[in-house]
Amino acid sequence: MLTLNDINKIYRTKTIETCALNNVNLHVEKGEFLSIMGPSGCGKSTLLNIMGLLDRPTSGTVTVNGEDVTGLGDRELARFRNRTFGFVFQSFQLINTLSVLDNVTLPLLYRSNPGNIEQLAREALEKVGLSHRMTHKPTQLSGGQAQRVAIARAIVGNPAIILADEPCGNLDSRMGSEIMELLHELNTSDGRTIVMVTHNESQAKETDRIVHFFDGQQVTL
Amino acid sequence: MFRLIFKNLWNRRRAYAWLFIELIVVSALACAILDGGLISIHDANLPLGYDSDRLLIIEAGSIPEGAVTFDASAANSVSNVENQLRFVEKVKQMPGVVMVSELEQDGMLNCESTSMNSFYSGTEADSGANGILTTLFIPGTNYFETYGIKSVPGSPSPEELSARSYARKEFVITRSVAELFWPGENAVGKEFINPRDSTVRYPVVGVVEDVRQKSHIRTNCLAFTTWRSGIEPADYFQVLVRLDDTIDPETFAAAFSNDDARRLRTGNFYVKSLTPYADLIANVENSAGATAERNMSIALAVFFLINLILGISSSFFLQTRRRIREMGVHLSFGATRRHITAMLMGEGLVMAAIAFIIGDILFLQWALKFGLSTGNFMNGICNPADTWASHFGQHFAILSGIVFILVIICVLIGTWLPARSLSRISPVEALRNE
Repeated sequence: MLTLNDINKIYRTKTIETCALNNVNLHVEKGEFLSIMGPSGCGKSTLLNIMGLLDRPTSGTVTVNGEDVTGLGDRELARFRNRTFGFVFQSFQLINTLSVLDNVTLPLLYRSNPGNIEQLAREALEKVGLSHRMTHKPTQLSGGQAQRVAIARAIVGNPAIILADEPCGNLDSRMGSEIMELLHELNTSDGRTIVMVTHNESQAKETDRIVHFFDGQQVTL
Repeated sequence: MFRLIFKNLWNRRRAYAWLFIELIVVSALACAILDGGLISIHDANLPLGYDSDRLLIIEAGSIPEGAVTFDASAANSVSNVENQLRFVEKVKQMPGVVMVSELEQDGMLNCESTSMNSFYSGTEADSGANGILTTLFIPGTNYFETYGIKSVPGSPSPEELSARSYARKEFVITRSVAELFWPGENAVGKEFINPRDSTVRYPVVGVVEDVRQKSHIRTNCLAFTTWRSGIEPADYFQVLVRLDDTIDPETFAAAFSNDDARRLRTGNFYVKSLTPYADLIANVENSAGATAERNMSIALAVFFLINLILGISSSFFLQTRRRIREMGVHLSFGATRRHITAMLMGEGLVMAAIAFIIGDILFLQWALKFGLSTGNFMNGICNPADTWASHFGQHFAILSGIVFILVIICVLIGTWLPARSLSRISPVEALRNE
C-alpha cells in the first residue's frame, strides 16, 4: 500500500546540516494499523509528513499503491494528498473561523466531482458522533470533540490511509481513549489503513505493529 | 470555492473591517479623482472636425520700410493685395500642396483668442439667448475645403460656402448650433436675432458638421462669419496649407529650404514661419495650461492608483500573514497553489466589488449635489450634440465602470502579491506557523 525506500531527510542551513531521517525503509500493508514511536526529535513527524506527501525526502522513494510519487509535481502531489490521505494532527488544525461542517467539507472542495458535499460531511460527522455540533465553531468544542471533527475531516473524502500525528497528544486520558476507540473502529469496520505517531506506549500496543525510531533511524527493540 | 470565499469574508468581517472601509473610501475617492483625468483625456480625444494631420500654417511677414530689400513699388494697397494672392498661388504650386487658403486675422481654428456672441433663435420655444463661439474667414479663399470641413445634408457644399459672396453678418454654423437653435429643422435660411435689438437679424447660409474651435475645449457650437468680401491690404497674413495624404507636415516643414523661401518671396512678403498644425495645436494647449492640467490629472490618477495597489497589498499582506497555518490546512487536504491564490484573490475581489458599490453610491450622493467634472467646457455655451461626458447618467455610469475596472485591477495586483507568496509556502512550514 505505502512503501518508503532508503528515505533520507536532511535539513540544511548555511552552517548546520541536520539529518532528520537516515536511510529509512518501511512498508505499510493495506488495512494495517501501524504506530510509530520514539523520543521527541527522532524524526517521527518528519517521516509521517513524507509519507503523507506534505514534505519531500532529500533522497529515497515513496511508493503509494505501486506508484512512485517522489518526483511528482505540486499539483499531482496535492491530488494524491486529497484522494489518498486523511490527516489528523495533534493540535487538530481546524480553521476557527469556519463552522464544524465547513471544516469537514474542506477536502471535498478540492475534488472535481465531490458529490453532495454537505451530505458527505454530515455522514462523516455522524460517524464520529458530532452531528449535533455541525453549526458550532471549533472554539466552542472540547479538545476531544475538536479531534473528532478533525477525524471526520480526515475520513470525509474516503481516503485509503489515515495519518495521525499524536492524535491524543493534546487530550486527557479519557478523551484520548475515545479517540483511539474511534481510530480502531475506522480500522476494523472500514478497513482503513492507519499510521499513527504516538508517545503513548499503551496506545501503541493496541495497534497491529509498532515501529520504533531513534535519531532518525528505525530501531529494533 | 465561492461559498468558501463568502464564508471566509463573513467570518472574518471584524478582521477585514478596516480594509473594507478603506476600500469604500478609496472607491469613492477614486471616482472623484479619476473623473477630472478621464474627462480631460476624453476632451483631448474628441474629433476636431477637420483634418489637422495634413495641415500646416505659413506665416507671411512684410519687409519693413527702410530695409535694404524693401520694394517701395509694392508698398501700395493694390500691389499688396496682388502680392498676397501671388504668394498664396506660389504656395499652391509647391510639390505636395493640395489646397491653400489665406486666413483672416485670428480666423485660424484653434487660435489663442476666442470670440463669443449671444443670439435668440426667434422661435417660441427659445426662452433665452444662447452663446456661441464665432470665428472669421475670408470668402473666396477655399476656407472650408482646405480645412476639410464637411457640410451637412441640405446645406450648400463646402466649396459653395467658401466661394459665395457674403453679405455682412451672414453665418455658417455647425450642426450643434443648428440643433441648439432649431432642433430637428434645416437651419439654412433661418435667422439669428440680436438679443439687444430684435430687428437685427443674422441669416444662416450654411450648416457644417461639428468643428471644435479649441482642441482642449469640448464645445463645438461654432459659427463662421466674415466682415469683408475678399483679400484686403495687410502687413502680415497666414496661409493654411493642405498637403497630399502621403506627405507629413513635419517632414514638409523640415524639408523647407532657403531656396523655397526665396521662391515664395513676393513683393515685400516673405515666409516668416512654417508650422505644422499639430504643433500649433500643442502650443495653444500649452499656453492655455490645458496640457499641464491634463498631465497633472493623469499623474494624480496614476499616483493614486499606485498608492491604492500598495495600500491594498500591504493591508492584505498583513491579513494573509495571519492565515499561514490555515493555508497549511488547505494544502494538507489537497489545495494547490492555484487554489490558495484564487481563494485569497477571490476574497479581495469580492470585498472590493462590494466596497466599490457602496463607495460608488456615496460618490453618487456627492455628484448629485456638486456635479461631475465638466472638463474644459466654455461656460454659457451649450452643446446639444455632445458626448456622454455631458449627460449625468451616462457620465456617471461610464466613470463608475472605468473606476470599477481600475479598482479591481489594483486589488487583483494588491492581493496577488501576498497570495502568491503565501501559496509558495510548503504545507509543513505553514502548519508549523503559529
